[in-house]
Amino acid sequence: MITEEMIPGMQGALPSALATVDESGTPNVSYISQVFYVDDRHVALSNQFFNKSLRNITSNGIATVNIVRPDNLKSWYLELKYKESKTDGELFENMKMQLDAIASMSGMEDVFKLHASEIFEVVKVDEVIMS
Amino acid sequence: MAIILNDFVKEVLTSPCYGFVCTINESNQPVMTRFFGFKYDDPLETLTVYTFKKDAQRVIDELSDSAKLAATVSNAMDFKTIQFKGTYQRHYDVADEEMNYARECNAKQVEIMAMFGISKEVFASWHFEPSVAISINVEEIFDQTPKVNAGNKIN
Amino acid sequence: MKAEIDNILDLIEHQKNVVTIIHEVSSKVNSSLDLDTIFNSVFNLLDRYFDFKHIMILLVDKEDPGQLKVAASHGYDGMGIGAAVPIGKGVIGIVAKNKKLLRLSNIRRDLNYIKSASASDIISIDLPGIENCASQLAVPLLIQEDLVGVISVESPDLNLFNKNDEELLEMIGVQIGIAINNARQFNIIEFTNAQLKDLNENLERKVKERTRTLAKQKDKIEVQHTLLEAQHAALEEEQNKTQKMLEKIETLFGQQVSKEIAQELVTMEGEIDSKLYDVTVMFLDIRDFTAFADSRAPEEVASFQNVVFGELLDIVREHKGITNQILGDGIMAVFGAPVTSNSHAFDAVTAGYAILDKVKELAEEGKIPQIRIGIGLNSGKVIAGNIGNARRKQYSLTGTTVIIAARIEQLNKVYKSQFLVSEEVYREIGKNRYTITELGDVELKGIEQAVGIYQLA
Repeated sequence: MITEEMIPGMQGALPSALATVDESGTPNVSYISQVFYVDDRHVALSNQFFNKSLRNITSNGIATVNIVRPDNLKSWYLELKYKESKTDGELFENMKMQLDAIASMSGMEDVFKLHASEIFEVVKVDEVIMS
Repeated sequence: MAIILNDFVKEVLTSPCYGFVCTINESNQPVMTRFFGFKYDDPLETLTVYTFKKDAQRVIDELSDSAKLAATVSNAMDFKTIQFKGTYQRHYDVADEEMNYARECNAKQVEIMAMFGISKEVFASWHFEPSVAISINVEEIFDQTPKVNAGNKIN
Repeated sequence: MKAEIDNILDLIEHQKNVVTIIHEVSSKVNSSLDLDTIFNSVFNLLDRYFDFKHIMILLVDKEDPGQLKVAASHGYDGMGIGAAVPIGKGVIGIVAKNKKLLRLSNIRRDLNYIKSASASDIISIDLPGIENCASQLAVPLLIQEDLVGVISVESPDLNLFNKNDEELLEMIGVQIGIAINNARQFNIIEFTNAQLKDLNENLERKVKERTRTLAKQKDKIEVQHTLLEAQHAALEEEQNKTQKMLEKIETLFGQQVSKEIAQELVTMEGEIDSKLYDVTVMFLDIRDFTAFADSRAPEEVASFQNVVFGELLDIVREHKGITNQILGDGIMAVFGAPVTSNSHAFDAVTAGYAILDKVKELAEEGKIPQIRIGIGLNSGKVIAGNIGNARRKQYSLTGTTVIIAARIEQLNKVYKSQFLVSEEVYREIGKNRYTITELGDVELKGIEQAVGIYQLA
């Protein structure tokens, strides 16, 4: 599903739009700083604040996310299905290291903590039409 | 039911910002497209966003009378973000005077992308013409700035 | 399609540069004990081949192990050597704390994000680095899993480093770890010498002690030299491979020469420490290999190498040995480490005979041309252990025992023999089991005492 070409869009250079839907069928769009590559069928999002998007996702399991390559602006929509929340393991540790590194530069390591890595299955990929 | 815009919303809307507009399809999957400009009235009833028609088609295909839409605008520098929610009003091909305005909007996106380190040349690979406008009857506005308890209703 | 080919070509170019730089760095590490010289040449090579403009190496502070200090830097105008980074603070501090590499693509944005999402005011902590850093990659420097420092590269450009850079910097990190380890061992010896000097009033004794220590040191460096030369040969082979790939645009990566060792080490349980082992070391050489290789097509040489080395490695393994180095025309193997054994000498001798039989058999079956090989064995103590981290290990052997084994193997040329062992091996295997010819005591280059040599074949 996820090809080599898409990976530069998953390194946090540009923010990603995350769209979810609540129980009444209302869409919700917010921005997240990074979609993390897990393997060619899975991605992860970081859970630092328990906000509406994540509540929506964990209740119905549906999300669409947009990723953008910073070098040529090629972008994709990934349709996601929520799988699980992880609080340990290599992926979680790596995501936690990223947040710890940044937060500790501002002395905020006690405020900004990674609660969990939320793992999603990629069910469909659509390339954004650019021209 | 016009919404009086507060200073926070006005500040974000007039800052260098970028956005996405989103609806859902019949299987409840969110469908979105990027918009490169917008216009609004104050007090606010209608928000109109300008999109690249070829990519926006995936959203337009899902727009029926009762379709719900969300549009999020975010400042590229300080992350201040607001989200508009409402129902579908209409969509139309952008032309004439309005297209000139839309072109100005797109030109402003160049400086926003520069803040992300995207050059003018690379930005040009995002085409925006022909453009389609999507108008939303706005019912609610939310403060979507990333922080604990993000998503407070503003109006 | 064109994009794919471009990608492959880029990858090949990158791989070529990696091979070149590792080759140059390891030869620098081999030829110098001065860390500043080594660090600076690492910086220059990274800048030249990979355009890394801002690089620093930090080492754990001896006085305060809770922090790292900048030991050397490249591309920081006037940035003070000695600037400190507390462990756990910033990218470098977190890498040190977790002993794992970290790569970030958009630090500026992430910092802004923290600022805007914080209710309270933010203090910015002063850490060494460029202003306006966007991308950074930092790799821990480890010796036996102990943190000794961090190497970091950074840039004001977004999204600059990728997975390939991670691998490159990890390999560089291993080399720097080796360099630091070498320098430390050398310093310990220097320190011991100074103490001896103070304690010892007797000039004659003092001179003797010092000479012996220095000779040991010299031997050690020679062994390391041998090992690194072997590594170079392996790397050159890699380089040739890469060249062929360019012509064919086929992916042939992954046939790492050291895979054999890696597999052996992976199956070991627990950690392998650097310690003293009683072992038998085998050096094996294919006679006149260069002449043979020059007169044949490269495919024929490669197929010959595959057949012969494939069999040799199997035989070594079947006899409880591990192949430590593969050179273009020979191997070095050890019996009795990292798994200790009482029968290492016996195992090595039977392996030697098995190899001679197998080579003869292969030649008779016409699978390989008629070749002569030389085997040298010596038993004794060696220091063996891993240098590197969990992902990139290098199993190395140190000690006079290794040098003597190499010299004995070379004696085969003099005696026109195929299989020579030292008296130490001879004593271990028992006199009556084989047809053995005693050749007497032989002087070996660089070895003080003459060594008793026995011919087994």
